[in-house]
Amino acid sequence: MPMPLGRRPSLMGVLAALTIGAMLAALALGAYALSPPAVISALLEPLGIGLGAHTPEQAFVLLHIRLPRVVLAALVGGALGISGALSQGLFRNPLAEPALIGVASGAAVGAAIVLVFGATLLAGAPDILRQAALPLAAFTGGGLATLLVRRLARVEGRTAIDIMLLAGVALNALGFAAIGLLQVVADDEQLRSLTFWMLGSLGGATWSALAVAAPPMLLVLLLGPLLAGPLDALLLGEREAGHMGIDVQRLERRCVALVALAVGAAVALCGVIGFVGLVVPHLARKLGSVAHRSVLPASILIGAGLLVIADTLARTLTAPAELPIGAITSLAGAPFFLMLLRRRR
Amino acid sequence: MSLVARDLTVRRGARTVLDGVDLAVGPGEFVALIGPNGAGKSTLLAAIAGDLEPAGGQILLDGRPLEDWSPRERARRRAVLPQASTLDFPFSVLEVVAMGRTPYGRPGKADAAIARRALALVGLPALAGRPYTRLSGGERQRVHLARVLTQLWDPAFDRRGEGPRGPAPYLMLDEPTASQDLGAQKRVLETARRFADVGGGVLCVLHALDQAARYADRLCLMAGGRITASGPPAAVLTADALEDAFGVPVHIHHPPELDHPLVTAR
Repeated sequence: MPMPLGRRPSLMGVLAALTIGAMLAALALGAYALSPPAVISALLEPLGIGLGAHTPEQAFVLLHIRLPRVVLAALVGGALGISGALSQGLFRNPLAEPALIGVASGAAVGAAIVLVFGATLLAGAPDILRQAALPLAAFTGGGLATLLVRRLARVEGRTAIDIMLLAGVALNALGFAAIGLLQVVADDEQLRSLTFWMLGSLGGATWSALAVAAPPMLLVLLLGPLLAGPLDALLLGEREAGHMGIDVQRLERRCVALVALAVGAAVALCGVIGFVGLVVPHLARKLGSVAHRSVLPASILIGAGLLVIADTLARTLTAPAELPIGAITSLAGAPFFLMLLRRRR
Repeated sequence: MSLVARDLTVRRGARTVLDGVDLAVGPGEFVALIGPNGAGKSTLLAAIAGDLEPAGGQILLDGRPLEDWSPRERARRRAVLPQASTLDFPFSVLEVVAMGRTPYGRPGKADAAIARRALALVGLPALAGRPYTRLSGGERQRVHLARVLTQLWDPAFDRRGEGPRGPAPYLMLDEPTASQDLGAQKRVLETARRFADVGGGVLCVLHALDQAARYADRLCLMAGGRITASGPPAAVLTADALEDAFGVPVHIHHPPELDHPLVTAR
């Protein structure tokens, strides 16, 4: 239900509490059992509070394996959530998603090239470069595709947002065609890596990976909510927003840059995780107001919480084997999205 | 101190849709643009609003070219009501009206109060909490009128004639009475009239000639991308001028109980 101005201050508090709760539960759950007291004890020890309720082995699993993974899940979920909300706001379309600016398919093509040709191309390269090649290629591919979509949507010196949406759809089709071709030339092993990458995984979570991926995502989480007012105005139309003093071109640049940064960083590290960006903003609108000052922060919190839960399912349902997280988010997201659409009527 | 179009020319492809138009709206003045479909009324309004790139001429706000104003500065002095707006998200009516406060930064309590007063002014105070998407077309249009009034509230209504007045705000309305019922039409035009009476300038595209005659100080009759007649209603609404513009013979009635003429096609 839409709320009058200035009500429901507590929604963010409830969502934050639920997200933190999900993160704590995720820390305790897994193939290696950790009791809640052990989790809390091991978390507090580095802060100088010794409860002594855990073993060194438990501390190692928690601090070096599980904690970075849960933190990464929350960050990526938050980044995908707000990217979805920013995209739907920018395109003024509740069916828009971050992929429409081209970043996801561009990143996928970049990653696919490395997965298929990497061994040949980087044969003599140092180890560090070979490890970094995939995320670098994905991030670069995402950035290039975004620039291309914007370039295609330039009409008379300005970016036409409606054309950008169509250019994004076309470029996505092109990107997946390119990946299809790459799949033809890939061997079985490469095909398997590619398939897994396309379905996403948070298995690569380490503190050093986080150190690289977290800053761009955090930046988006901090700056994105500042665009709430202009995005509300934009929902009335580009002209109307202009009449209300919004520099629409600048707003478009900022939205696209933030989404490209967030999704680029997320995809580079975790592969393609579908449906989060599409579904999360709808949930945010259902739970709170449709105004962006509510939708943007709520999308961060809901995205973070949901991805933490999805990743916990991914690594516990068939333990010790892992399910691809993108399969879980799509499996849960698609029917849920259909339900939301039907209930809108 | 005025909103001025000087020798404004707009082309669409090879077609000249506005041909060297001169127009000025001053503080306290209600100017109505009238004329047949395709005469260029909405184009002129859009060009003065800064939505179109003119092929020639200039738009001046207080003597300064429009493009020299920053978007926000401009938005605090001038608001535009389009013929229709698209908004597919179920904002509350009050939230939509409060969007008019966008040029003033983060919305606060005072902004919600202004939005409520504007909503009362257009006669829809009871709809504040209603989802915008459930309103009728006419109600939506009035909500947007409240929104543009909210945008210009401070310069227009909070002065109350005390002390030195700030520079006048300008309200631009594109067929604000389309899709309104009889009572709502009156309400909308009275609101615009009041905006002019407190010192603002109004430029309004109107189809109903009797409405234009009743509420406007000055009419600009347009045909073929030019202003063919301009002046007080009685001077512009002549049988000859209207027949030339609309291509049909007209009757002009002066009912004794009204202080403005009525026009019907003969």
